[in-house]
Amino acid sequence: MIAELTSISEQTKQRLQQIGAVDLVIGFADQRAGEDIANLLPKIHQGLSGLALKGRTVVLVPNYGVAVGDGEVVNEESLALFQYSLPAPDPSISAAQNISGAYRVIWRISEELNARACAVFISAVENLTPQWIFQLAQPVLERNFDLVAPYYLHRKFDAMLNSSILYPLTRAIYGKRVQNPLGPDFAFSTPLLQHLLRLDSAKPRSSAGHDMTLIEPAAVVAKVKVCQSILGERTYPVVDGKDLSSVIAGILAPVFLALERDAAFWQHIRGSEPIPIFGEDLTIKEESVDVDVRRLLESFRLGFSSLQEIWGVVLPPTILLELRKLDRLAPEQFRIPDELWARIVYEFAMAYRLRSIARDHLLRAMTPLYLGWVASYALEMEAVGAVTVQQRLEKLCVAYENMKPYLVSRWRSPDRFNP
Amino acid sequence: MKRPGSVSDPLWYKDAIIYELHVKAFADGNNDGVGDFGGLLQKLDYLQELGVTCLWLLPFFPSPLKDDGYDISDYLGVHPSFGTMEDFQAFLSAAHERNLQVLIELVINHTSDQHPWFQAARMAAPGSPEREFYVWNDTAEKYQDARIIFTDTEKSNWTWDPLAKAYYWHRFFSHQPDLNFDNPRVIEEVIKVFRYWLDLGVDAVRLDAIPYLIERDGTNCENLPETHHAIKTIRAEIDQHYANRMILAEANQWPTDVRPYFGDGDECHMAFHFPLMPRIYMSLRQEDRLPILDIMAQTPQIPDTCQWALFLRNHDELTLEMVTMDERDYMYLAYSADPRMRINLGIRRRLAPLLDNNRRRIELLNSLLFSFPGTPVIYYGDEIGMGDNIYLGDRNGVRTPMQWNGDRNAGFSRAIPARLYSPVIMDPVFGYEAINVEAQQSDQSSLLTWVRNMIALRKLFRVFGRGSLEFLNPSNRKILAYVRKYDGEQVLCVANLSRFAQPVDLDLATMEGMVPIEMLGYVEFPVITSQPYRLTLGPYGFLWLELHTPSASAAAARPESLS
Repeated sequence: MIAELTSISEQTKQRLQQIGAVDLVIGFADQRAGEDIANLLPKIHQGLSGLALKGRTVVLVPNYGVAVGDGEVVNEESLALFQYSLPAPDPSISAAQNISGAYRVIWRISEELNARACAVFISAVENLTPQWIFQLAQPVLERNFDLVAPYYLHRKFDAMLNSSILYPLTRAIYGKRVQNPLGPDFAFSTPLLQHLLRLDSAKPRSSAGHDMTLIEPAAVVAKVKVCQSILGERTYPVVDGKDLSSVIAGILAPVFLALERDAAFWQHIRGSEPIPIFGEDLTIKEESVDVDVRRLLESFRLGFSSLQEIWGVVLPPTILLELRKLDRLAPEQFRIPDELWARIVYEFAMAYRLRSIARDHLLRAMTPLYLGWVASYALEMEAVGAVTVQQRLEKLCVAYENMKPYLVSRWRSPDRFNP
Repeated sequence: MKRPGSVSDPLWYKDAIIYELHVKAFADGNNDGVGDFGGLLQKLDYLQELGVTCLWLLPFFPSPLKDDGYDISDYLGVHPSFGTMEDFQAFLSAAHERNLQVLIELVINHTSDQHPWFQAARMAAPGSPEREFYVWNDTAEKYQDARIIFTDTEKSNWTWDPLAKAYYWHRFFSHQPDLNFDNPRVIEEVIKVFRYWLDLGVDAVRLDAIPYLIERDGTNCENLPETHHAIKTIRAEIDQHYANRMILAEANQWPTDVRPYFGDGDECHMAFHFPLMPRIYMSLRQEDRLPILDIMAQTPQIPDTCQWALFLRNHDELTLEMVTMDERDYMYLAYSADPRMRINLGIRRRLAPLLDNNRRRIELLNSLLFSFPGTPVIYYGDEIGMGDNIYLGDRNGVRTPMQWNGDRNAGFSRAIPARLYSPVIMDPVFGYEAINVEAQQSDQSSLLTWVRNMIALRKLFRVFGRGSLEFLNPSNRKILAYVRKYDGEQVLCVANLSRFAQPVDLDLATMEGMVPIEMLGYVEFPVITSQPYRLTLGPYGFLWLELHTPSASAAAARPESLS
């Protein structure tokens, strides 16, 4: 299926050529975009109204394999709505790989149209507001940025995997403070998407790491101009507890692979720097959420008793000792120190690199530790407000940065005989 | 439209780690006792994991094998012992899939006397096109100033051919007649050979014995202007039709004589730095950096697109051609106590036995190999500290089967031991039961693990492949210290050539304020001041220190534009 998405058909190309000069491509991956055009178009028009556009805007909606063929379905003076072929998500591959398929085909079309900017919306269409359109496209069209990453307004228990691992890890590694390194809603300049397509075509097609979700790190390595735009709230897909291990494995695998690929880059980076953020920083009202810490801790303790063998291969004795102490703590005292958490994540990244055990098993074995971190965080943040949460997560990021020399040292001397 | 290579960076060879191997010696896929492309293909994962980036294959063409394949009888084929052309292509594709480039050897100075060109030449009339493919004379008196290279076996560079009723010219063995590069048709045919292999997708070609292409009376017949002209012709043809390929010169000459082989960046991309290698061994044994500094001082600048190839050992003897008589005598005394260890003007031993199997010495020399300006070439088996067999003839003692594990035939082949092309090393110190890949892969402290880490470390820093070199001059001559710089990267390398711990005060005043960080452990050292920077190194110890400005931060990722 991925192979089908690497190029666009001649027929589609011919239809695209008829569209004329294009400034902006807005690509949707959610199949409901096509079904909800009537509701979507006014929002798009409103979002575009503030932009200084010289050419047309092309909105791409997927047909999800419905045999209607690619083509224009709405044709206005300033906007064309174009239906493109995107197979339905394949449950046999990771979400990241499915998303990569959407990026690829939207980029190809945007490249074919020679648009100045391309905004891709992977999130569910219900999230879309005029502000999303404007905020993503404007920095590329009017401020010469190459990549606009989304800055979502989070509630304190939103996007925990991002807050606990993805953001602090990529920030420490790549040295840029980008809140959502995996987007997934981004805007691109044409040179950047062409660069990403070149990177994509250089990879072995069958490799496990064949996904294009690590856009922000790739842009940082390419040393292009990156910024963030505040988009507002985002509804996150609900993850079934049983699937959590797969989700963690699916998301972390490309991140850890990128660490290998980019080692010569990130080992020269120390500290991190903020990047421009555009848009209004609205606060969102925190609703009271009951977090079942007891179940999270049970998962951690079950992991501690049943995954000793794997953790023993991955983690050095001082960390194992700390985990043992945590296992014995009363629930209300359960806290994973930030430095310990950062070291755990770094050790898993190392084990992934060294193939200490089968990579998928390795990543799945991280799940109880992650749930332990969530429990620790929930206990600590249960009664605090948004500002304190932000400060708390910033402290975690600083711990990742402070512990980065530990990762560099382990990376260069991966001897298991370490403390 | 130029045919692209397997990499997109035209200067890829500057960052490469080259691994030299003989197909026959590496792995036997069909269990006939001789290594082959099928076996090599099965070992590509090992090579990828080791971290090398370019595989240099010794000649694998059809040949009578009187000189281990350097006597080629068909430039366009694969010796049946090593497989078929399809096997080669399968190997090449698999190597490229793993981001491994492939460097092959073209021995263009001479052919085998069994090559159809020579067979036709000796039968053809004098002056005929066929005859003119080689260099003939009625007497053995011409070109008397040319030295004899294989002094142990050859008495003259001319050999009488009774069929041709004339003498033919050969700089190497008498069964290897030299091609006549004064004949434009020879160059045309050689270019066809290049194009054949480059069209298949090989990334690089090593030009064997390149200084000897052309002969002129009254000269030593080495490095002649006409030879350079011939090489420029070949290079121009490659540049016209192919992108991102590389040619590597084997010119065992003094650095000033090798320099012209780079031309103005229009001859060879790379050339071996032959004289450096024996001086590394000399410096080590004498515990004095002078021999290294001396030869580096004689090493001229080369064009930006060019690169030296550095090595500690290879498939030939440790050559002592590019040293003085005294230096040669010293080297013989220091490294070849047993006369059987000597051949021609050199020493036929592998790295580990040369260094008395001392792990610290092996690591020290590898640290120099990986940090000196140039592209390192690792000889197969040296990454595990393989030994040699001085009782085998010629240079076969350093060409024994790769030692994969402790099983029969060292895991090289399932053939009965008597069928092996060469016996495996079996002595108690270097034998395959003691030294093998499998054991070292499972040993975190093995030489293999160490080499793998060093390769990975080197690959993190472009400064090693591309940076400038500046020697420091501390009063303790047992310490070799130098700074490499490239595009904001700065690395200070300090090596103790002595078997005892040594102190050193380095004048780093120009780097005042910088923070040295030991590269392997990422350990921060005291900040550099205007005062002498004092270090103490253990026996044969070395330090690689990356130099950071105190405020070094994410500034390295400043925005640039994509083009």
